[in-house]
Order: sequence, then C-alpha cells, then structure tokens
Amino acid sequence: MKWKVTVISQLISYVNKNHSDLLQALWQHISISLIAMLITILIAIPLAIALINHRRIGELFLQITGVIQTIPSLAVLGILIPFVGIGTVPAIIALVLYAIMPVFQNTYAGLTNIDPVLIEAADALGVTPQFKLFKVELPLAMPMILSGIRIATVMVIGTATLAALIGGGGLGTYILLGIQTNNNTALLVGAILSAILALLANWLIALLSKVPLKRLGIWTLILVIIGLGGTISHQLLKPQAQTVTIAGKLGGEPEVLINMYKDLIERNDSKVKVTLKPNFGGTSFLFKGLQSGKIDVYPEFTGTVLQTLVKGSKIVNHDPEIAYENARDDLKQQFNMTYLKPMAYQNNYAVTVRRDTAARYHLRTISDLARVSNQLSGAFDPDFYQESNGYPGLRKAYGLNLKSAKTMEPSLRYEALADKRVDVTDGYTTDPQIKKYHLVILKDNKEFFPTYQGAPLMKTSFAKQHPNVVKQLNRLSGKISIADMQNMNYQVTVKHRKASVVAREYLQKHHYLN
Amino acid sequence: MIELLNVNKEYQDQHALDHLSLTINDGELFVLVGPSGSGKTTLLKTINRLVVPTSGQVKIDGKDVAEMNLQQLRRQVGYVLQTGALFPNMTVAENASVQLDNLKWPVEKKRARIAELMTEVGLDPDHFLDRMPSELSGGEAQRVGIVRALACKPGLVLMDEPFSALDPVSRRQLQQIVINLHHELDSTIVFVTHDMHEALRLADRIAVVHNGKLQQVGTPTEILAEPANAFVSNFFADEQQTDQLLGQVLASGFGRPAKPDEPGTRMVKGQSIFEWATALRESQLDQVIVDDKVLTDHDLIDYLASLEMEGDSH
Repeated sequence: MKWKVTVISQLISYVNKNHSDLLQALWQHISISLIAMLITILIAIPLAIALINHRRIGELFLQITGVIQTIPSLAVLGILIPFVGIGTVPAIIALVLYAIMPVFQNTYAGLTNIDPVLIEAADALGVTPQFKLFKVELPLAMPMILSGIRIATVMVIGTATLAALIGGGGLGTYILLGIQTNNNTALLVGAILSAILALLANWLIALLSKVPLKRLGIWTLILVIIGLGGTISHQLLKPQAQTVTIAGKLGGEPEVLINMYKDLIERNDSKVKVTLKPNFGGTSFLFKGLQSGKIDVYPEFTGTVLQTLVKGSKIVNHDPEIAYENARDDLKQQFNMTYLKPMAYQNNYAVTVRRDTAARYHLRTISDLARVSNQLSGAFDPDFYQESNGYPGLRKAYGLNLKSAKTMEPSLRYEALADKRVDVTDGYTTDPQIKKYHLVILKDNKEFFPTYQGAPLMKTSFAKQHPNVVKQLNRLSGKISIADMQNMNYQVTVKHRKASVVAREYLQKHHYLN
Repeated sequence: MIELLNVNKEYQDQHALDHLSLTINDGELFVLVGPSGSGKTTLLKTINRLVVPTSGQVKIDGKDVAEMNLQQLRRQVGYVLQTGALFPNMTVAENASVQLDNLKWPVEKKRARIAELMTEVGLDPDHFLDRMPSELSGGEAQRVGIVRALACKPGLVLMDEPFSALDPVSRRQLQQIVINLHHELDSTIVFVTHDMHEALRLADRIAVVHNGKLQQVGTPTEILAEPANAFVSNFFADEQQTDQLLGQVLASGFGRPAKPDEPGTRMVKGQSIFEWATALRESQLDQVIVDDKVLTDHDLIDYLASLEMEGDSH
C-alpha cells in the first residue's frame, strides 16, 4: 500500500513538474498518429475500392500488407533512415506501413462481402457508379471499415512510442528516457499516457461509428481544414530564426552535454534557436542523421569514431591526444566532418572494486589488483568479457588471474559488487553507480584501455557557416572532469533530476553563462 | 414488344438457356414459369442485361439491348427482386426513390410520386416513408420493392420470384396488388415464378421453361386445356385435378361429332366443367358444342363419375 502511494505521488509530482513538456509530447504523439492514420486511410480505402472487382489482385495485396506487418518496426525504421533521414517522416512512414493492413483488410472484406442481392438491385436499377459506391457499398461496408480504422489507430498510438528512437518525439521520449536513466516515473508517465490515448481514440471511433455517414464526412472535412490551416499558419507565423539541431545518444550523459551546448549557443547569440533531440538512438542513427543534414551537431567519443565510424585501423591509441588527432583527421578525410576538441573526462572502460577491498589489499592500480587477483572473484558485462579490448586482453596485459570470473547483466553487476557477492567488476569511468556505491576505479597504469573522450561532431560545411557555434562549443574543450561528469550522471540517473537543470547548474557554477 | 431471338446462355458446366425464342407483347402480364434451375430467372435477366447471353439477341421495341446504354436501359426498366432487396442503410422513402434520384427528379415531384404509389400498394406514406427496412415485415418490404420498381413509370417491369419468400396471406394480397396495378398502368410486366397457381392467377400469357428450353407458350386456359407435352401437363397436374376443362373431357374420349347447324351453347376447350354445368342449367337444351363435338348432360355425369373412379384407384 505504501509503495503504491509513493508511486502515485511520484507520478503526480513528475507530471506537475513537466506538464508543459508532457503536453508537447502528447500533442506530438497525437499529431504523428493522426497524420499516419489520415495517410493510411487515404491509401488503404481507395485501394480497396479500386480492387473490388479485381479479386485476385485484392488477395495479392492482402498478402503483401500481411507480410509488411511481420517486419519488426525497428527494422523498418532502420531501413528507412538512409532514404528519408530521421525524425517524424520515417516514423510516420513506418506507422502507415503497419496501419495499412487492418484498414485495407477490413475495407476490402466489408466491400466484397455485401449481400449480392443488394449489389444486383443497385445494378438492376441502373444507378450511377458514384451512387452505387457512396450510397450503397461504402455505407454497407462502413461498420467493417471503422473497426479496421479502430484497430489500426490503437496500434499506431502504441507503435508511435518508437518514433522517439529516431527523433520523432512523442510520448515514447519519456519511455526511452525512463529506460535510459533508470527513471521508472518517466517511463510510467509515458506508458500510461499512451495507453490512455489509445483507449480514448478507441472509444471516440466507436462513438463516431454511430454518427450518420454524411455528418461524419462533414466533420472530418472541418477537422482536416482546421488542422491544415493551423499547421500552415503555425509554419508561417513561426519566426524564421536560425535553427541548430543538436542530438544525443540514449542516456543521461549525452543529454546533459547537449543541454550545455544549447545553453552556451543560445546565451551567446539570441537569434540562434537550438532544437534538442535527446535519447536519439544509437551511434549509427546519429551518424546517418548528421550525414543527411537532419541534425547539425552531436557529441561523439574518440574511441567510437575510430572503432566503428571511420574505415581503416581499428586500434585506438592509448594516448588520448593521439587518439583524438587520428579520429579528427579520419573524419575530415573520409566524411568531410569537423570534430572539435574533446572535453577533459574520459569515459573509458574501468575496473572497479569496493572501497573496503581497495583498503584491505592497498589497491590503487590494476597492477596492484593483479598481485592479489587469485583471492578475488569478478563479474563482467558479457561484451566486456569477450572483447579483446576487455577482460581477455586485460588478463594478458596485467597477468590478471581472478579466482572466478563470470558474466552478468550490466545493470546487475554493480549491485552484485555492492552486495559483496563479487569483488571486481568492469564499468565506465563516468558511471553514476561508482558514486552511488562509493566504488574505487583502479588506475589503468599500463594504459591498456582505449581512450574515449567526448567532443562535438559536425559537418565541416556547418562549422564554416556557424563560426560562433564552433567558438562556443570549444569553450568546453579540456573542461569537465571525470568527477564532474560522474556527479552529473548521478544527479540525472539516480536522483532523477532534469538534465537541463543539471547542465545549467554546472555552467553557472563554472561561470560559462556570465 | 420484347423479342428474344435464339437466346443461348452457357455456363462452364451447364446450358442455362438453349436457343430460346419468345415474343412478349406490349401491356401483357407475362409469366415465366418452371421448376427451380429451369433457366427462367436467367431468361428474365437477359432482358435488362444482368445476364449477357452467350449468343442470340434480346430486343426491346426493335432495339437490341446489347447496343443500348446500360444505365439508361435499366433506368427505364423496373426490377423487383426475390426478397425486396431494400438497401438497409436507407429509409423507405430513400429506397423507393433510388431510380428517381438517379434520373434527377425534382424533390416535390419525387415525393408526390412515391406517396401516390405507396397508397396504391396499401402502405400509408405518413406512417412508412421514414421507417428503415429493418422495421418492415416481409410483405411490407416487398410492397416497397414494387414501389421502387414502378416509381419512374417504366414501360416494362421485371419481377423475379417476388413473392416466393412470403406467407400465403401476404402472397395473395400482393398478387392482387400486381393485378390491380397492371390494370391501372400500361406497363408490360414480366413475372418469374415457380408456383403454377401464381402463374395461372396472374398471367395474360404463360411461358413454361424447363432445362433452358421453352416448353409451351399460351394463355392459362390454353396451357391447362392443351398441354404441349408430358412435362407441361405434369407441371400443371395439381391444377387440372381441381379445375377440369372441356379440352380434357374431349381428350378422355367423350363427345360425338356435331352435325352442321346442331343446336347447343357454343363453348371452347379452355372453359371448365363448372362453366359447362352452368351453361347446361341456364340453357333450354341439354347439350353444348365444343369446336366440332357435342357434349350432352349425360357426358357430364359420366365424366364426373370417371374422375371419381380415377380418384379411387389412387
């Protein structure tokens, strides 16, 4: 009972704190779903009508739409990005692809299963084709058509949460945010709102199905006109400010960084408007977004650039400066991109132990650990456990020989360490859990781990057109220590404070905004 | 005038109409009768081209229907289906005026015409026009079906087994309505039924169809009196039991050849034995002349006795 009360009060306070952002996300969600459904209806229903008398082609289309339905939505999004970029457009296309099946199937079934006697009557009375379609066939198929639209709408509202993955916005943003920053309240708010929205839409369509067709048509027309008028006037009235779009990967840390970028840029030049797309997805989504011009800037790690983005040597130099220079030169050469100077902190792999273990065995470096490793047990992220950059390499480089070493889900290994079920685990240097559980990072004294330093990445053409943006972003170069970043991640992920607030506090404290 | 010339219709596995020729005169109430699957409905549908013949011609007033504009042809031809086939999404008034809407009649004229016809088929317009088809009985729905078919004052009305799904009382009422409407209007009516009672009751002329072939065409009395073949006489066998005709009396071997100027009431083969009895009672003479035969009052008694004996043997 007490648990329930806290959850509810947390939800209420979260909604109160974020209500304007939530409303915007809700509106985005509704408009994405509505546009997708309108397009679906405009495609599926005329198609079904055109195929009434071509049953074989109709059956073929039923098969095709059924196959589309089976493709996982993430795969559809992935396939679409090279063609249409990121943002709401691919999200709407994917939703339309999913929604076509139920609408087409029901419309087609409704139109082809009308009592043949009625069709014969219409033919025998010599009615015009329009009369037959609009006064006989469509009204008689309408209950089926509406139920198809109902199924599709509920599905679209649910699936639209995925739009957040590729910067389409909507309520999915909160679900993603919740997953990435371990914030159950945000997750619940996003999920509950989209569920309520789906139920409301379901109810509304059921209600509409009782309204006579003529009135329904008129109201739809009015709504479409209002919607179009609103959108167009909104577009026209919008100040033609210079807009810079900055995106960040999934997670709290990139969100803090891009909020800092936004504050720095907007504070310097009020004419520039920065649009943020946090929790935008993985590396390849962002990089493709940058290439296609959908986004202008995003923070990327030197190690990631060298290992996954540029062609050529996958070895990351252990000297951070050389690693950065390699990354910068390769990006310039291969993609004509500008990679600004990195911040101070390194988000490297790390080996961590509890404070009491460190004290007991006098551990400060990984070499120290190697000395006593046969007395200790470890648990590692499955990737880390396999990669040559991870545990196998580490064993060779330091002569590490743990009493036992097993794999464990990344989210659980810190808890296992804190609960003293294991003594050593891997992590990232900026992980907030290090602060939360008072863990000790052992120094990589042999510089075994590749270096991951974050820096803003953009196209060179953008950098040339926006020298002031470059200048502002460069103010962070060589700044922000590991402890700073750890602390900020802790604020966002563990304390559930807003990334924008945490970012601004840091900037104010260090006098960037004066 | 409707002419069917050598009309042939083949489906993949059957011969629905087998080189059938037929003429229907203007103003006739013409009934196509036959057992189910005989091809009578297919024949009816060739007239408004719901069925396109494999070969042969259908002409209305000398014009080949294959060369007419399909919508125009059908808007001039009323059509009544088996179950009324009212559109469930429209009111009675909307259903009744489907053809008028398509012919773009003005609203007032349309309303007056529908109200007039509704009254004629025995439905109060004020009471029925705003109802939905789901609120009507089968008989009421079919009356609306008839109003819909007659609304645009068609010269030709096709009725495809319109009363087969109704109860006997409604069926009888609707048959009377069709007879009355036919008297009042000048329309030609082509009526399909598998019920020979209905055929005999309604028809000016009957065409008997079986296995896609025309068996016989004639007035009801002609068909009862002189069935062209075993199929026709079998099909109307029930009717002959109850309604004996003079033709049958002669066929059973009664009557002697008449001398020239033989006295007696002149009668025809198509008249019934009851009319014969009436004629005998009202005449001074004890004999009637049918064609070239004389039938006496004794013949009547003997014939009735022979029927009784026939009945016993069953």
